[in-house]
Amino acid sequence: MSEKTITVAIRSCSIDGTRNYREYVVPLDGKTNVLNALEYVHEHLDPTVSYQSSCRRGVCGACLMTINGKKRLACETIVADGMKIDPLSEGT
Amino acid sequence: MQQHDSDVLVIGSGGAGMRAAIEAVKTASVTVVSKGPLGRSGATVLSGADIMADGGSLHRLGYSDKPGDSPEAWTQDILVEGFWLNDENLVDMYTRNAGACVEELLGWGMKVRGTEERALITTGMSICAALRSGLAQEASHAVTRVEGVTIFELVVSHGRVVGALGIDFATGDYVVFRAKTVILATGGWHQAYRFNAGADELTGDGQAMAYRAGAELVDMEMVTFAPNILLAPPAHRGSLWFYVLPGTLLNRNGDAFMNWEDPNVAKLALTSEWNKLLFSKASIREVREGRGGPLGGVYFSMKHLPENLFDALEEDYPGWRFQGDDFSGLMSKMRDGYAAEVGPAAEYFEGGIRISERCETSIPGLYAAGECSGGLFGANRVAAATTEMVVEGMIAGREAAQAALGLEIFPFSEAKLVEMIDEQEQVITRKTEEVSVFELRRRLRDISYDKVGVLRDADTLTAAAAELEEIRETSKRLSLTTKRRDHNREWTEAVELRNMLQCVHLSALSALERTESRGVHVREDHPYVDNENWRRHLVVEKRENHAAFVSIPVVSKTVLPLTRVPYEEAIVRAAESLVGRQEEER
Repeated sequence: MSEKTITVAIRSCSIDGTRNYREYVVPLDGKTNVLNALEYVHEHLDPTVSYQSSCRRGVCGACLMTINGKKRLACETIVADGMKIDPLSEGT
Repeated sequence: MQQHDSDVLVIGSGGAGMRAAIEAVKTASVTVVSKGPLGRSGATVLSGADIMADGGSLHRLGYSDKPGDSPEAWTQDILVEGFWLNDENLVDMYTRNAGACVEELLGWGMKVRGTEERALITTGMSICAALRSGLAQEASHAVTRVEGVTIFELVVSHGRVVGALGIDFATGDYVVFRAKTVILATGGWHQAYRFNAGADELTGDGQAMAYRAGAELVDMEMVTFAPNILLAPPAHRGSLWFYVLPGTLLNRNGDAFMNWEDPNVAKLALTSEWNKLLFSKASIREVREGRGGPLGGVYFSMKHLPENLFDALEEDYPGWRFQGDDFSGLMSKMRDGYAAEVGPAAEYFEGGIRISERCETSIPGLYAAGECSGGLFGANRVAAATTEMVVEGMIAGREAAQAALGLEIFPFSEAKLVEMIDEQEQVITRKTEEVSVFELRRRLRDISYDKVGVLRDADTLTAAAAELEEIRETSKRLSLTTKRRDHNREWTEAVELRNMLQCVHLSALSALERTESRGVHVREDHPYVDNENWRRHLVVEKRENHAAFVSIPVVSKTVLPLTRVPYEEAIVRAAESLVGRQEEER
């Protein structure tokens, strides 16, 4: 795995209704999209981070979410350091 | 608890599920339930290019230049391609209904980008759009659409399937579906392999649930791997991009290893989906013999392609976009002579739930359509899976609706519900965090790809079956880190893991049982097609707590000489027969 890492902030709603960003450090190994980063976080750092996905190829629309304030497909958005990832309902 | 009652329940909303719903709703009330977005889920949106029918039918629709072709002639080719393991009744069903099903899709707006003798070139997206508009146009009354629900078990009562239970992802609540008949249209178990070319929700749910409910599965050892699939970077992993482009496969020494000794085999490899079997086999052999790359693949090069042909290709794929992916970065490296690491990836499952030509399973009330069914393509699928899904979807929809006519909705017993839900409750409430779903899934994916993959032998299959058995035992103690019920991806993954383990375990046992090589099932320790002993399906069903296999003769009108033919020679003979017939017709 490469040495290069980035930090992303993921906001989730906890059971008591509070909404917080948590930061996660994700390794980069070549072209990586937001879906890949979320998968890494979910599988290796924090299984409570949850999202939906299906085709992974920008066709089905399942992974639409809010990325830096805009509604984007996670599988077609290249991940970058400092990115803020929010639920779909938070976007414009 | 939320409850949906309908005459027919359709589980899955790719092409087969959508087509089944369109047909069933003509005479019955229908509920379609899907893990992903309705009509955009599963393998269909990603399916590459073509939908097939016999040349005669396509010619009548104004497309093919092969008017003399017929369903019967096409059937013969499919039997050769399937190494004579196809259920011939299913092949007849497929070829006879293909023309009408393609015509319907055209009527619903499917776009045609090109034609071949037996195929229209289109896209998975266009097929899905046509089916969605078909459902809107044809449905005389509303279809109940339930998205984002994972069905985890079928409900059986007095030997009949009478419904299903699911978990709503958004709320974490259980959802009850009661129906007079149920159609499974859930696709393959792609996600069980380290490298696969399937959508995330393809986890063998239909096959595993049908098996647990008592239905027969068939040909579970038959798995097609597509070659030239990108293994890296993460954003492109699993894409079919290089499968559709012209290129050369190289090993780590830079040597091209696809050498065609037989001209007919070369022709099949270059002009049909025979390339899947032939390239995958050769790629894994290079890797096994130490000439692969660091990720366990081989290399795809486009260095031989002259600049102007590169430009022409870019015109076909403006901006180097394929599906929704942007390959411009990678393609500028390819132009400079870079070789990308690629490998075979699980792509299609010939085996699955055993069905009749009316798409009935072996249990009353349960039907199956599309990739989750088995037996149509025998040991090797070359003809289009897109045609399979619409033909079987149409028939399953019609038959399930008809069968529902004389039936009543069967009330679930409270005790039964409690028992089934309790199993899920244990997963989500279990305290000890000793076994994680991710660890088990990683192990499963490695075993599947490395030991129940392209090339097989008794020792590795035996080891795989034992390891899978152990993982299945361990998975009974599985617990989740995420304790909340709503939006719990880990919970869905635990449900899926159980199903994938079930499918691969049966696939390994079946592959071990079949002591010959046939089609995509290549046994290094039995390198011959054994028509004396093995022109038989392996059928498996659950007995108490073990898998009971029986082998049954293939349903066929064709008698073959009872000989053992070396596997490579069988491919040469098949190629001779297929190419010979093509030339005869000219």
